[in-house]
Amino acid sequence: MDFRTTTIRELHEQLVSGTVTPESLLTESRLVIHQRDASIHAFIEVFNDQQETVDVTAGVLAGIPMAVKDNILYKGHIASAASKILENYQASYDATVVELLQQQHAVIVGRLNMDDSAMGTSTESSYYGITRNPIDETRVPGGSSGGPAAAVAAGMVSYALGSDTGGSIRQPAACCGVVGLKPTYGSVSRNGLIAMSSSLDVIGPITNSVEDAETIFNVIGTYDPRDNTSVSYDVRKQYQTKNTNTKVIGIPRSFLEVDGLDPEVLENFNSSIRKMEVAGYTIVDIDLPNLKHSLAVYYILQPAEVSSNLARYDGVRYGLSLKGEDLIDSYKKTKTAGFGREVQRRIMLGTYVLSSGYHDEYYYKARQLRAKITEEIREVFETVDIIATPTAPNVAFPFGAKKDPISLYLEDVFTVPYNLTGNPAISIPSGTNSEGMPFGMHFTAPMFCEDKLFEVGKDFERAILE
Amino acid sequence: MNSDEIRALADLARLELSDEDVSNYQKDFEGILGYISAINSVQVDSYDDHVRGDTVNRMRDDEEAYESGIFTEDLLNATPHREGQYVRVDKIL
Repeated sequence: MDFRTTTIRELHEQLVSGTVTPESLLTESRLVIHQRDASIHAFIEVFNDQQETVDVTAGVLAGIPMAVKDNILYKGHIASAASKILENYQASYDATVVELLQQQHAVIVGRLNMDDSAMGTSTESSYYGITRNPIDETRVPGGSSGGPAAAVAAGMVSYALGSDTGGSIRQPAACCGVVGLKPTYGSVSRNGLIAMSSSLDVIGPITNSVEDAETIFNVIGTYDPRDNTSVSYDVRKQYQTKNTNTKVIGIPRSFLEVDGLDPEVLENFNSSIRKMEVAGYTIVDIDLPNLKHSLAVYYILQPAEVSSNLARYDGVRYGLSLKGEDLIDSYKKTKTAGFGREVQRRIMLGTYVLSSGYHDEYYYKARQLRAKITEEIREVFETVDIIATPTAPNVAFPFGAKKDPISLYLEDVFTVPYNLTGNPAISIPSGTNSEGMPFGMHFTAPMFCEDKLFEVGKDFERAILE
Repeated sequence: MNSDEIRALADLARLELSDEDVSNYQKDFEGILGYISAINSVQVDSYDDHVRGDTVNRMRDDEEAYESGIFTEDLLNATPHREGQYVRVDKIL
């Protein structure tokens, strides 16, 4: 049995028929973790409190080992977002996604490493140390969900849950050669996700196949009254009634000409798209004139929301608490000691773009452009069914190769636009380069049309095998 | 940004900076602000800020709140300085 090559549905069938047992799957998971995680370090903590009896008919996920990113609350377990400030924070309640997994008797084997507070594209900023890419341990696994991507790619678990604010599921999935889905904003409850940027954050699965991503999405993509941004089924249906013929793929050609794009990435993208043409798809060029501003817009709105959201870490309610001379000094000592370097940088940047005098120039302008980009994407979906780009401008890079903030930010250039617009998007393995490092193909669909991503994604998996 | 501006910003963000931090931030911010300032040259003609309805705040009535008290113990236990049913805080006035 190998988690890498066995789908969740196959595992479920084997469990129900009795060919494998929940115990044997958990043993396999622990064995691979034991063999590989000393060097890879995908896990911050492995749990040993799994239920002894699992009803394998409780749901399609019953008895199957999985793990969650360290920013998803699992009651009674530490959830630190890989930061020092939450080092000893025990979740006070279960995230809705964890409840949904538990209703299915899913087996949660541990919590997974990530960039500090989910800010990063390499998992190098975790307070608990780096995670190594299972394909080449001298390279980063991507980020911020580097732990989830590495754990799935190494076959430690069947699947994992991550979170994606600017590409944090899709980019590490591409780096590690697995599938990463960012569902539509509002389709998966964020109740119990440690908030970073509330207009952008989404929870989603990292899996071995598009089919598995669909299986997980069907379980976690439920309406939740405890999340005010959760979207009702009625509203979802209104979006889904539009065109049904998923055969036209649009490529924003001029957007692909970004600085720092690895020529091999572009070459792989072009040859993979040609395979989709052979498979019966129509490929058209599309013009999205403001898409190129997405990353700049993101690095205004995201830090602005970070500076507001992370104000709650005051040393009073939960988390690290250091005593200063007075109240303000206590805040300063706690935050300075508790937040990592990149987190502090973004809090500072967010404070700046929101400050009086700069608010109109940065924050307001960025919101206008976000609306403009959203409108452009909505309009382009009147003529195409799917938008395709590479997932990231580079394959997984060696540790320490990207030191200045902008070069790390640029790794999200192709994924960030759809956090701004809310559209669902998926990264699917698209072959490897001469050094064996995987490429990612990135597809985006209209709002609440995950079914289109799954349909096209499965065709893509078949097409690149030929 | 000069060093005084960086220090004022850190004060607003409730962060303490060393002299080395200040010069690092000056360098970082030069690059980042240079990058994000590119959007200032983009013309967005009187575009409605609220065109995307779901980025506005969505409020709900208090009537759907949780049953009183069911999380009290768990949340009090999460506080760094608990005293009985209270949370000890620094003097404010």
